[in-house]
Amino acid sequence: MRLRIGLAILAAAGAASAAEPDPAKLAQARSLVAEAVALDRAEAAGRVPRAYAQALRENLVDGLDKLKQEPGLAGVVQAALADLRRRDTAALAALRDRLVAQERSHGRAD
Amino acid sequence: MKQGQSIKLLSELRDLEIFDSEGELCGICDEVEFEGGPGKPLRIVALIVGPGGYEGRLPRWAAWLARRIAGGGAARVPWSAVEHVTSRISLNRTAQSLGLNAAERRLKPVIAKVPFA
Amino acid sequence: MGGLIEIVLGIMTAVGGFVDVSELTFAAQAGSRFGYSLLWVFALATVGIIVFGEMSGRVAAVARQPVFAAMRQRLGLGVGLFTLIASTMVSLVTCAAELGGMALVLKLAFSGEYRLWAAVSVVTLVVTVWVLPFKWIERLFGILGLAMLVYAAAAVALHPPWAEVARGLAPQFPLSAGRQDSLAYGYFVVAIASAVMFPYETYFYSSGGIEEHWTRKDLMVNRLTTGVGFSLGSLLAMAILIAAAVIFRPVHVGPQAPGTVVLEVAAPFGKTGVAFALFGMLLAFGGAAVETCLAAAYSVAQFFGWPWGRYRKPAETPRFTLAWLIAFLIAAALVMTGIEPLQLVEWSIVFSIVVLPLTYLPLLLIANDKKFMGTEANGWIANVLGWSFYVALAVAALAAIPLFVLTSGGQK
Repeated sequence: MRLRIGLAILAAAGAASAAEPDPAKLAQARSLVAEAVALDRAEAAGRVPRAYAQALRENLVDGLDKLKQEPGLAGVVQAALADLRRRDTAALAALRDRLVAQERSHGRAD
Repeated sequence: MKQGQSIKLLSELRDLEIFDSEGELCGICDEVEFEGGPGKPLRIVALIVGPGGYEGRLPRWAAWLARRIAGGGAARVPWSAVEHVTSRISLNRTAQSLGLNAAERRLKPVIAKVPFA
Repeated sequence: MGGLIEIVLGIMTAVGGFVDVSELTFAAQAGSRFGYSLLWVFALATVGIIVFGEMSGRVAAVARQPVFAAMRQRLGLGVGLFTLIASTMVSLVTCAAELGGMALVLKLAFSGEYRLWAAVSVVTLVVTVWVLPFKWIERLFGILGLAMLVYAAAAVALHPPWAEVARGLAPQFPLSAGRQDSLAYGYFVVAIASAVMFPYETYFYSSGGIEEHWTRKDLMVNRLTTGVGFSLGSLLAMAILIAAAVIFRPVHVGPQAPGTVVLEVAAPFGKTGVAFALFGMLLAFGGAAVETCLAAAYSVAQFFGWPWGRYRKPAETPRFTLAWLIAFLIAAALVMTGIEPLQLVEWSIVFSIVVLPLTYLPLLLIANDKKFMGTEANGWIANVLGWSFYVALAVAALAAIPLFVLTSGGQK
């Protein structure tokens, strides 16, 4: 019984992440990740005050958190949140590029 | 325009701002009261000032909403108190003597208690 | 000499007060998504606000009619009441967006709780409006808001491709773009026009003219403030778009918050630039919050014929005073619900443009009425421009809600 319930949950999660994300939510996720990369780079170059960087990062985390339940975005949002917390700019940039490619495959030109 | 001159259209009066003899804004002409009838001369008797004058001009729900925002009162300004009508209606008496801006007079002492008021 | 100082201060106030949270957000998003190709919309919409701003100032000076008094006379009680309710709701949502923007900026500068900063902002604004005379309210925010010029400096320092920038000033449409990009472009055209031509600006500007007891002698001040002031303010908004195209477009940032837009000045000017930008944004958003709040109060007071004006002490105009206090309270309550400022911006933009045609029609009618305006009634230039823009706005008003829905507020 418990095995059946577990398999059902896994199947549902798999179905949710395989589902196509809403283009508007995909665009939001892509931008938030891109903003995180831009912020990290600006902070590393000493171009922004610490209070500003911290507050903006919190905003970005809040924004990504709201997208966690979106179909097709759960996995990538979790990964982005983890990379944000680790300040792994390279991983975030790679995630951003993946999201851009995904948007382009749905017909968005920019 | 002076008194005695004929006013051709209701729109020359209704919805105009009203200023008293001291130059104070004291309301808008919300309705006009006539006397007379078909076959007899029509004379302007008074101006009605206040959301109470909206009855008949608005659907009932809209008049209700307006009264919620601005109160339900209406003052009656006799035509004899009108000095002249141009882009505004000018009166020959003060707002207080005509019962206009009563809400302002009631609320003024309340607000005046706050510093810098 | 005194007259010249008045003119210069008026222009500076118009420049510093031009960009609010909506223009900042849409300019940055437009630049990051479409490069320079939406610059022409800023330019054209600025001509529109100059035309209607000048007209509303002229009507205030000559006929001494504020917009909402004219509204009732020209449109009648029923349509006037509908416009009053719609435009007041829009002003309140816009005020909430500006307050939210202020809270975000304060959080970015000093850390802390968003809602606490929102409360601090609204209390500060209430005290400022209560204590200061009208002229100084306007000037305080307008002149200190000139710190926003750091964005103009950033746009120049980033060395954009000026030939491409110039091409962006020509009206265009991306004919080769896909369906979704075309719809999004259309949405941005409507949104930018709405942000530049917000109805509250006309209500505030014309009521301000009456607050300052303008007469025919002030018609030149009116023309210069609107013509020069709004033009320079528009250049600032365009600078934000240009800097976004340079900084954000290559790295796929489509700014989701006003805070991100500050990165435009971080790149060329570092921490000093960030400080100027945050200070400028705080004052610009604060000024806009005051304008929208007072615009709502002016509208209600003028529609019902209550004595009004910040040139008078609060106790002399009690109902008007209560109106603007309640307006701030409602806006603050909206912010406290935690709705994202960006969401409030979207709503205010879309519903503003729907209300705009109703706002400008009585203005056009009264500005043409020689009985009220005498020799200062609209000439043929004002009429050609006024009516052309009016038709364009009516079309934009019809398209606004469908485009908003189809593009999820420009995000798709």
